[in-house]
Amino acid sequence: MLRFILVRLASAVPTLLLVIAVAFLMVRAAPGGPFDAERVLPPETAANLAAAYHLDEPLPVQFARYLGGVLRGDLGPSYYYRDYEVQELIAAALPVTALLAGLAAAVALVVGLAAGACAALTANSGTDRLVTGLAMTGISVPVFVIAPLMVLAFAVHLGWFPASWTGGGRGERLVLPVIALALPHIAFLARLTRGSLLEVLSADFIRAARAQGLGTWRVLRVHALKPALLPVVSYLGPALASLLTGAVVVEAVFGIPGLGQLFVRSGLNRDYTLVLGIVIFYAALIIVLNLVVDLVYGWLDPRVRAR
Amino acid sequence: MSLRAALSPLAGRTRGVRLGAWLLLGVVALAVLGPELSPHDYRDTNFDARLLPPGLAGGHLFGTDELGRDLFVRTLTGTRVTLLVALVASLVSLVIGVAWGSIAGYAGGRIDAFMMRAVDALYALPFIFLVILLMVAFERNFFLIFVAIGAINWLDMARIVRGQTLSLKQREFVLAAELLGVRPAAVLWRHVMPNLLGVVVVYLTLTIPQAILVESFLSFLGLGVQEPGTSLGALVNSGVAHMERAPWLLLVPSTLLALVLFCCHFLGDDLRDRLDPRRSGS
Amino acid sequence: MLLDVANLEVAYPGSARPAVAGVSFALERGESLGVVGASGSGKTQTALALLGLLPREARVSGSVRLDGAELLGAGERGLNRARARRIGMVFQDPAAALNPCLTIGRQLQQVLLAHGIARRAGWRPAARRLLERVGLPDPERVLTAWPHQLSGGMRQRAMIALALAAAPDVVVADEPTTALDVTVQAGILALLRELREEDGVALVLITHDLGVIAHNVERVLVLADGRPVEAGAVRDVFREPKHPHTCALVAAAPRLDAPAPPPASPSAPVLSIERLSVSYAGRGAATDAVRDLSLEVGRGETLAIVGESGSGKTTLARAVTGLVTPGTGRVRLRGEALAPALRDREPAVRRRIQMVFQDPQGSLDPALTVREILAEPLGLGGIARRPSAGAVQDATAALLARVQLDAGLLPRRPHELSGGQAQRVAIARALAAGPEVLVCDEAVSALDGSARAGVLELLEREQAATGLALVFITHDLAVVRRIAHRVAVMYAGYLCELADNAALFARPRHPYTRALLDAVPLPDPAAPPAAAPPPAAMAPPANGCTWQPRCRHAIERCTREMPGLAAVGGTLVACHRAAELDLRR
Repeated sequence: MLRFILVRLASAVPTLLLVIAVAFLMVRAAPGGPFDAERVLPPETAANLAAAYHLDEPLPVQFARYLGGVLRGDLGPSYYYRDYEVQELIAAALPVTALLAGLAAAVALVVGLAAGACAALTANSGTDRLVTGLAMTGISVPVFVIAPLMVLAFAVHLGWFPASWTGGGRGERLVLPVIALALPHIAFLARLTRGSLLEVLSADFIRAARAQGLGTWRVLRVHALKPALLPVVSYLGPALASLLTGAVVVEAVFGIPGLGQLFVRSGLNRDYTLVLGIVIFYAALIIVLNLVVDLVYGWLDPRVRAR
Repeated sequence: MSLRAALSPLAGRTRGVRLGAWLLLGVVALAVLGPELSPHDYRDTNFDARLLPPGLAGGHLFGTDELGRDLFVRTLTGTRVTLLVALVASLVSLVIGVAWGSIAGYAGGRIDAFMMRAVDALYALPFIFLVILLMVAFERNFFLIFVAIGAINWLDMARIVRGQTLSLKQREFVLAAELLGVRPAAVLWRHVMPNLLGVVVVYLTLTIPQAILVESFLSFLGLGVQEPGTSLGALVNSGVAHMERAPWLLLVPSTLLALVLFCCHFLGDDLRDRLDPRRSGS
Repeated sequence: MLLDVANLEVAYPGSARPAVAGVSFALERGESLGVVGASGSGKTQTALALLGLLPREARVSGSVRLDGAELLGAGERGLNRARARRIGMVFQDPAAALNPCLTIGRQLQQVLLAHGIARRAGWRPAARRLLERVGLPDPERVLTAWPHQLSGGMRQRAMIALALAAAPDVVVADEPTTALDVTVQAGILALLRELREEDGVALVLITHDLGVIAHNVERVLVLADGRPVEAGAVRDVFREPKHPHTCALVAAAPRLDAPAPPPASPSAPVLSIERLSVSYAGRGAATDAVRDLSLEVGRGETLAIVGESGSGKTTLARAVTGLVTPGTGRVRLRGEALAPALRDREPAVRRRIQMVFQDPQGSLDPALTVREILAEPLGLGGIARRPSAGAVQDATAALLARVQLDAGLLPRRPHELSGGQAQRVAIARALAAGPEVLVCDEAVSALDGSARAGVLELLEREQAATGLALVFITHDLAVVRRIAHRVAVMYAGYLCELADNAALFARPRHPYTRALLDAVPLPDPAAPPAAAPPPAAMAPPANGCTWQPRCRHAIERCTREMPGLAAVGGTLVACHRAAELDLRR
């Protein structure tokens, strides 16, 4: 097991380096400098600014310098918010997004798995059809449609929850954004769980377990659970990535000052260091989360560990 | 899989599948023909008829938007764009993904390791962010939308294709061909590719809705199709702005978008079930 | 009466005939019944019906009484009370029947806890006792092992332990040994016999193998198409089968005393394998290595390579064809050395050695028609570059005729062919390349009775016509007897014995060969029952002869020194005591 972990960790490092390199190059390759949005500068000022931000050095040197900074946790100064370092801005915006995404993930897991299991266990009954139908609808309606519709229905017309972040109390204002973010994942997880559980339940070893006189609950809990969770765990990797994407929309619709918002604004402001910083942060996060997912998968399926 | 098999949902066994297939066909037909048949053009502004609610009177079936443009025509035009982009982008990602994945899987060894390491690295990049970055930096180029969506989707396809190629490589009919002296390129083309079809079609049923979502998302953020052209995502975006006074501006394109996606998923499920190799070998 | 089955019927909606109809039998404590029939005869359906494990859509009628209590229609609660505690089941494929995500210990624990045989805290000793009972060495290790870490035989023993955990009165075993090696099978069958004799467990043994039936049950029930056609004591049914179906089964049962083909006329070797070694750099289970092996096959000769799983025979086949790269050693074709890896061999060279695989369907591309499959070898080298459609039709039809198939099969796809037809197409494809050597890797193992005989005849005919050299890899000694001129016996990667067909069966020289022959269950109740050698340990010994730990004739020298091949009475043997041992039956 330990070797499994180490191997995975070892392969994550070069991936991360590659990611940083690609992102760095893309940002540098984008036309338009960070200062073009403002008034045209006299050449000496431009040259001084360039030197101050090390933009006049050859590319590999810039990259090495940047990489060194990343390793120290220094992501450079923001071009737009001149008084702040990139890592400070990220740290300020992170808690909100983390809370939002974390809660959404938890809700999606609990509700999605439960719904999927219910559907699988009552296969082809009315309950199953209802759950499947709702799930199908859930994945068909994009986040950016759900979020405004929810605001329209629950905030504007029914007035149950605040329409924006500044509206209500701490708990209240989280409800709509978390649900909006979680909904497509609840739907997907429900479908996935249903399919996976149905497949596991028709496996030979489940039949053998029943032949051993094990009751339904025991069969489900001990025998069916682990194998059925395998595809669900595989899905978690891409799911987390898309949660982060969805957060951008939800933050936009509800006016939440999180990382997604920061990113969009930094793009519009051509604040390249901030953009780069956020991209790298997200990439590192995804790599780490994928690693965790891999480990959980390995714990569930011992055959994978042998490889 | 033959054309007949692909069209068979139209005569599908389950009532639901038939409904889904005809509905999708209907939407596509409407999107293609509707704007031609309507007296209004999607660009026609009419400041006297702004923000009209839906209704038969006044000749605007779905109402008008804030510039007096007919919502019916704009929605259908938007659907055209969304579907077109999704289709083309999916095909692009399919070609790249299949080529990349099958070559990596078949070649094996260092080539495979390198190619898939590249995929892993690109996978970790929060692509949607980079895409947004690209679109902001390189102006809102319509062509770039295709590139962007294709660039996101091909990774998954490449992974799936590689996995399938790896297992196909060990299959005895591939070994038999190698023993006969068939050249690697010919083995890849004649034996591996046709047997990838199943998994590719299955995956395509997932990438098309995904591409629709990405295009709509980009348009929603204001980065996609530009005025006066429109797509479903852009319509939803402008709908949000007016959703308290004129909710139909949000509801109509949202419903259509959801409907299209719903049908795609539904049919995709059915197709996947039917192509499942565990059923009577197809 | 312990188990009383009357007029059992199983039907599925949408199917014209019931899967099982009119099955009746009765069993007392300690008795045994064999249920025999071809595949599809309803044997497994009957077994599942007894435990109430049929799918939801099955319609079951009749009566199944266990100690007077009716099981059919008893509901899940009632059935669970009977399952495991009164009636247990052993399944065919232990790899599929064991949960791959749980350790053996955990799976045992569940059964012990569910039936109140052990408490939460003290289940381990009970579990260990069970594993010992089923003959597993090192039970502590097995408890913490996952199914994929165990060999096939060990898995099946674990499966039996699970079935016995709640001490049932009846055990239903559905093809328990079909997926296992013959020596392992003998061990499992011996275990089942022991359980019957010592613990008084009644046994319902389901199989298609008459050899297994002949020595392990007292009474037999023959099924055909779901219906019972004959029943009676085993000796009676074998001696005087009454129903034509039974007669056919008995007649088709493979025997080891079939006439052997006469030895081939000596000729210069076509294929030479010189000191070939192949090893896999895996951690933990290193399977199928080949060690320092040398063999020759002459023109028009059939060499059979026999062994069980782990013997290295499949790896050898793949190394000869270049699909696997050997570590050391060389393969020569008519004296000319071949490149070790297939990709380094020229197409013209590749075509001289062809292979026929075990799974007939698997070796044909499911996306192509038979015509396209056969056109492929024809399109390369020999015939013109771009043959016309007419030429392709003629050539492919001719190929099909050569393997006794009708040209009407050309537009079909592999899944539309029967096993026998598919294998003939595979052979046709191989023959189209004009090979000098044909390697058959378990080529008839997946075929039944008549298809098998037909393919073997076809191969012999081709050999007589073209002087084709056949390398026949198999585990089945009856097939070896039928077709081989010479036989090579492999164990754990080494060559144990190389002998003429007649000599091998009449007087084997290596103790492993003897054990192998003894382990084959003969379909004759009068013959001695199959004997099992002691089970294999997890890894072969580091020093000395690999067979030694399981050998009855081992001496001290055998633990130190690996014997080399030496000629003893016309046979090459790798055994220190070959010259002095008399291993005739």
